[in-house]
Amino acid sequence: MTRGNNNPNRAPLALGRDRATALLPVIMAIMSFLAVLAAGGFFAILTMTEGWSSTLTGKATVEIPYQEGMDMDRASAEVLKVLLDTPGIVTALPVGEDEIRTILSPWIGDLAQDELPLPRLIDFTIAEGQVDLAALEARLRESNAAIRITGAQAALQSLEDLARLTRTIAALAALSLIGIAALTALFATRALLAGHRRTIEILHLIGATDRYIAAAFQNVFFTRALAGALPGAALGAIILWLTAYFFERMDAALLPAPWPGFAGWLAVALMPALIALITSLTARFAVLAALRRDEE
Amino acid sequence: MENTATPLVRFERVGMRYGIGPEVLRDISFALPEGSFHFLTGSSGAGKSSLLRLLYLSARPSRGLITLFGRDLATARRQDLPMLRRRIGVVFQDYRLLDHLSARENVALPLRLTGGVEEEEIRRNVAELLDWVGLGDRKDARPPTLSGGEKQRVAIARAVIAGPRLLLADEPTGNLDEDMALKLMRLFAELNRHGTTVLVATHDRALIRRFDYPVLRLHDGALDGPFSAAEYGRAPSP
Repeated sequence: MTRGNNNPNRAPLALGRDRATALLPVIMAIMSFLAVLAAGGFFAILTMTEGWSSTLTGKATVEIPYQEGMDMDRASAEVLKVLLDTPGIVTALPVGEDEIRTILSPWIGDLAQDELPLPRLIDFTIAEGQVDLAALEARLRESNAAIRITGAQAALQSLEDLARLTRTIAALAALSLIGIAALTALFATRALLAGHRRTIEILHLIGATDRYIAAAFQNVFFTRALAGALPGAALGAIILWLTAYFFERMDAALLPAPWPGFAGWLAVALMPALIALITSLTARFAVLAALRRDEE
Repeated sequence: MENTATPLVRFERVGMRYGIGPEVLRDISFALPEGSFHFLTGSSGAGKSSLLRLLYLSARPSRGLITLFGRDLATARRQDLPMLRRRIGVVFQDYRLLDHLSARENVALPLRLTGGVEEEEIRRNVAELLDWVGLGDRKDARPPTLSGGEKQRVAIARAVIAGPRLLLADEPTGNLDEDMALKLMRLFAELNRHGTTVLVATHDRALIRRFDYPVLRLHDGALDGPFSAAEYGRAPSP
């Protein structure tokens, strides 16, 4: 901070033990903890949705329920044409009546099957992520409102939409927390400036530059923010790890464990430095701006 | 002692006011040649401190021209001021020491701020200077534990440690006994002999008579002089 003076409490600007920054490590620990959870959550959800996409097949089925008076063959042919004309759909194949009867036999038995009206089913496969199933279903319903798309891919799309929303919220939460850290630094800087106005004036008169003053603030905010952000992030990382670990042990087959992945752990590891950097830069620019304002 | 080269300080019809108040300095014009020694005197409220504030760049004039070290201050940017201030040593009437630093650290400040001086050299120079002003045994004392006279001497040591080109002192001997006051005035004179331009603001007529330097007199915001010490001694008090 200051040439030839290693003890921060004997530096010309004794900011280290000021009440204005006393709580800064605690606040930054909380911010860092929450930001790590938000960032870790963001990457965990990202990893999970990637897992769904890779583990679930790209198959879905169009179901045309039986309707009195409807030409089911014609309806089936129309749906088949729409499917085959849709970019991203690789194959589309009507399910045969015998196969449908086999599918239904556990529920209705063999006896009355000939008399029962059967729905028509058309299986289709899609290239991953290339077909908007909701839009496709809406298009099919233009000719028959009863038509619906079922299957893992359709369910996956809903989950992916939900996951995307959750990711957005997690990212916004992480950014908001970093923003709050910056605002906290701004208010603490102003309080610190007010408390050290006389010292700053003396230093200026002796020949200190604004950058010298700002650097003293920047260093104090960096070290104090880092002192809080490191344990906060460590605690957040432990919580993330435990969550994924116990989730995995629950053997929940439907969803993969929420491990943040390499990018997630990297974000967690960098979070304290990021918070300390943003906090210290906020302090620096707040000091420079305040000193310029004072001059005017 | 004085020379006719470009003055180190030049004021031309300078006026100064605080905010929207009346002018505390009016049409001030004078020059301090490089290497000169002047006293600045005047009754309380005459504007001595305001004039010094203009000189140590703590305030800007509301009108007129000030040049310092040949530089027009009206064109000086904020980032230029620290370099100018480092060439000025100031002894403040209220000392303006940093209470959390020891006497030694206060005196070392200008050298540390300037940079480029080895820590060992700083320690040696500071110790010598503090010994010289009679504070050799108080080097590690902090200002709150020092008497007024001791603080004054620390302030003086801080002002001269970096060898300023311009030394401004506001009542530097006000809290000192006569022996110490004379000793410090001799220090100023010695610095002056080595080329430092000195301006000492004081009420002390005996001090002015004793040291035969020209006198600038402020009265109600206006400046008279320079007078010789003898002329000043004959002049009635304003």
